[in-house]
Amino acid sequence: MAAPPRVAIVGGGLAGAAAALEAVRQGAEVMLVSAASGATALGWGSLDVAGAVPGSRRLRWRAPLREAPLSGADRLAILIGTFATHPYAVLFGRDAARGDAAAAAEQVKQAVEDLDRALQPHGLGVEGSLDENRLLADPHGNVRVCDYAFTGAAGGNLAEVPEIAWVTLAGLPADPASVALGRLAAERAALGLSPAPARSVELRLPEGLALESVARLAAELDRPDALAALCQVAKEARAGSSAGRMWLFPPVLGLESPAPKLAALRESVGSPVAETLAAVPDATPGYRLQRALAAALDAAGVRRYAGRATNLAVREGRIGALGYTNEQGDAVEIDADAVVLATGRFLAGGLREEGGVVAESILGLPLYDGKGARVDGRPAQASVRRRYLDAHPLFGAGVVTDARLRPVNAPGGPPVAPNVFAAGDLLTGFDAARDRTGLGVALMTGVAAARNAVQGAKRGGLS
Amino acid sequence: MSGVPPRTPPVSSDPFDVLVVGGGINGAGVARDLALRGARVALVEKREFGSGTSWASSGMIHGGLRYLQHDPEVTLHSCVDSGHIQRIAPHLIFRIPFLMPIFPDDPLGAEIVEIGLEMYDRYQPFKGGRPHTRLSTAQARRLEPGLSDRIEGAFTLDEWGIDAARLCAANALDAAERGAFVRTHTELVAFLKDDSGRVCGARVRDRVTGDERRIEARETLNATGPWVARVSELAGAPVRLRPGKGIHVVFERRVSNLAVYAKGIDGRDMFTFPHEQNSMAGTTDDDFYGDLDRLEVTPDEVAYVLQAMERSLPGIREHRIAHAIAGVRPTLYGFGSYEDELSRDYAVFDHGERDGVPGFWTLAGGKLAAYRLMAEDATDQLCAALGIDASCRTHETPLPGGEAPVDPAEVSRRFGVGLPAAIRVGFRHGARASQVLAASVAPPRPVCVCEPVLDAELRHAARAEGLRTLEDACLRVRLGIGACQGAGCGARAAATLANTLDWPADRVGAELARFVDARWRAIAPVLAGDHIAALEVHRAAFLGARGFAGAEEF
Repeated sequence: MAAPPRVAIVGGGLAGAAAALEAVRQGAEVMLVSAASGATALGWGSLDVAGAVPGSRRLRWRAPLREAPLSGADRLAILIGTFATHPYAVLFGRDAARGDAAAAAEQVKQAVEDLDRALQPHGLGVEGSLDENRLLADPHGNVRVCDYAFTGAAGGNLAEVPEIAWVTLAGLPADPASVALGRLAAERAALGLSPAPARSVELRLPEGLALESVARLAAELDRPDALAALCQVAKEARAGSSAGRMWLFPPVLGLESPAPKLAALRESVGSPVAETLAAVPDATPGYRLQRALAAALDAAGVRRYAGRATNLAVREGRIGALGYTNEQGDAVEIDADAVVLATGRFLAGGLREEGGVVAESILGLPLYDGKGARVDGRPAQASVRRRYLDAHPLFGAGVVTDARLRPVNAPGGPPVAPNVFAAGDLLTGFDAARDRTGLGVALMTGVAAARNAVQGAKRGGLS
Repeated sequence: MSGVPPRTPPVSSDPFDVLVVGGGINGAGVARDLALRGARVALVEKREFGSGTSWASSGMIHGGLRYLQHDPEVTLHSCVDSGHIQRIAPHLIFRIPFLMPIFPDDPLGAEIVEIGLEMYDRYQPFKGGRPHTRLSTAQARRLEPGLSDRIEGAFTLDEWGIDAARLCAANALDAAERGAFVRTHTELVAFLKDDSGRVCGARVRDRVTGDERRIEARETLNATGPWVARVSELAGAPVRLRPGKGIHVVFERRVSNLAVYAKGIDGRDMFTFPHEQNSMAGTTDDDFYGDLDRLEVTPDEVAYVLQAMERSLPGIREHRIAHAIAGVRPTLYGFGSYEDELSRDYAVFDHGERDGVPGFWTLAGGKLAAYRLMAEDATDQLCAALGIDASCRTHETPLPGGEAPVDPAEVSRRFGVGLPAAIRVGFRHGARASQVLAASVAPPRPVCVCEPVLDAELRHAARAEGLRTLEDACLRVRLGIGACQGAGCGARAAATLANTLDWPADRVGAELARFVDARWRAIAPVLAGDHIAALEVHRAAFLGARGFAGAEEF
């Protein structure tokens, strides 16, 4: 019996984790090296696959609701048709823009289901549908159109909520409730939703709980006594509350699983309870996702190593090992039949500016913006535009791959190595902050890169 | 500050005595002086108080050691006036000890430098400064461990820093409290002239509401800093300047204990200096021919400053630069000198006498450190023309908050705010700290944590000080100019202002868009290294906080 293929993954965000979990499903032995948290840990609580794309005339944010609702397949097709170098276009082929989008949508649904199954045992679920938008509020009262969301915010779908109790916690820095609710009302109007009654409920927690920030309070509320105190004040405040009212809390319900907190609060107030999405940088849902992913990787038998990947080493004429520096500062090598780079962009360290020029950190791969212009080898400033909201090449730059997600030196050229793959934010063609497809790309390219890596390794083993 | 109406105030139908155009330190200083002398004043500023050259200055009321060589008069004036400013605004002042390292290859040599410092010592008593000292290499490096190991000793000298934007606002607000009509975001459209050709006020436009109005005045003063040339042209009385652009880079925190001198590759003196919560480094001085309304810091300018700083403080590049500021000096015209050698003197032009355009005046040139003296001179001349017989009191009448010392510990206890936040409010508002904090219904909370900007200060600025936009809060309360550049505080501050000023929901998005564009102009020139990762977080914060209502702007 052949030994299972060995896949080494660099990066522990959603792209790396999705790749690792998929590689395990495909029967591989998986090693994952991660250095620091990146964009995944900054998540605000939704998992947007087909995003909402400002700047695209055909996919204005409000269009999906004001005009005919668009299915996930429709929106995927528009995305691919609008952004030729988007990872979805690479993954599903540009033909998906014309007719094959249904198949792409099926792949998305399967990947989300698999992720949900992997995360559920660790207290985090993925809820939602690619075919129906979920409208979720953020702490400022803005409404975001989402596909899927994680346990916590997922229950706060404004499309279904008749009435809102907007919860503020005395002393916790937040927008004045009247401003947030005013904004929420304006947002509902802009989206063409019927106005819904909303009122604010201020809860005063007992002395001694840290209220400096959303994250500090979330850490406190992982303690049963602190949660009990919150439930108590919520219970006292529920007088006169109608049963159908949705209580929307700021995203403070734990850094661990929010599920038990939601259940306890629901019991206390006798109404549905959800969190709002988070406002970066108060990204409690990102912390939770990062924690749950780590737990899922451990449960799946992925061997995790802390350290910063430094190089790929050649064994018998092909890439055969991943080199990294561990936390003690020692150089270590992991033998592997295939490598998936899911190293992210600047935040996680996949890209960096050093010596005055932008570069890909491990292999020095060429970096392109979404329009095919080189970004590496030049100062960062050469790749930014005048206005903040412009599409800055720097923030949409990454590596270009072939259809199997193998990095190439030039668009259309051969892969730099037959068994090196890329996934997630390291890929070019999208700007997660603008088009909100970041986690969707991470999931879909992570899964695909892992499949390609395992298949290639099996074939390589046979030849 | 009950004298400042928060909403559109009626403009008196009587003509004002003086219309002052420009709310930088020159215009605000004159408006205050005039108001103190009983004149009826209107002050209009097209953006925010001090948002031009004043904000871009080094924020020092120093004597100007540099000017001793070419311009000893300016040094004297600056030192004397620095002493006055310290008396009227003691809360706004902080000592900045300077360290001047001596390098073996310095052209002058320590002995000659010391002769200059001995001369400068004679001016120090005017501004409450200590005489210079000479330090050994070991002493200097003990004070400032980051100093180059190539130095051969160092000198110290004493200067004073100030929050320049706050100084402008304090002058303007004091004028308002004394009855002046004061308005930001109000730009000049055209001067009014009567049949005889006399300038008798101006037509102005409110840039926020779009409303236009006439402001009639017996005398009109052009105090627009580097814009004086363009504005005087509008009145048909040309004034020439030789504008000089200067930049500062601002580190996200303090990077040295003392201000440290550095030499540019061309031999120019520059320095890195602690200033409020940050350190700044600069400045450049280059002839400027571009568009004053679209100033940009170039990568070359940043590189030039850092190259100089690196010679004195070799580790300087390891510190993150939060943003950069550009400004243009309103230097008086002169041909054939290097920028640095041009006079920092000022001039008051009576265009009736000079150009046959009566009723119109220009105050040009000058230094922040001697603003009060310039204002006094201009006000003397305006009062003479108006027949107002009152003498100047700006050297002895405290600016708002300067009336009495403040006890931060007491403020901290009384309002339940942390001591650092109380000290900060005391520094910025002096004796009025309690008044500022009382503007909050709940206990004051920080809206920003880069430095503890309290929501109460923001509310007070909006309610009682005529703050009109989120972008202006960068200058008025130092919001979003630290490490996070607004990522952590921008949206929350917008909501606080919306709450205080009753902004409609779609206004919030538009305000955030302008705020973030202004931050980007300050960040982009220094975007490098790990700063790019911080910008990824910044973008996630801002682009994530966009809503549908008002989405066209944002």
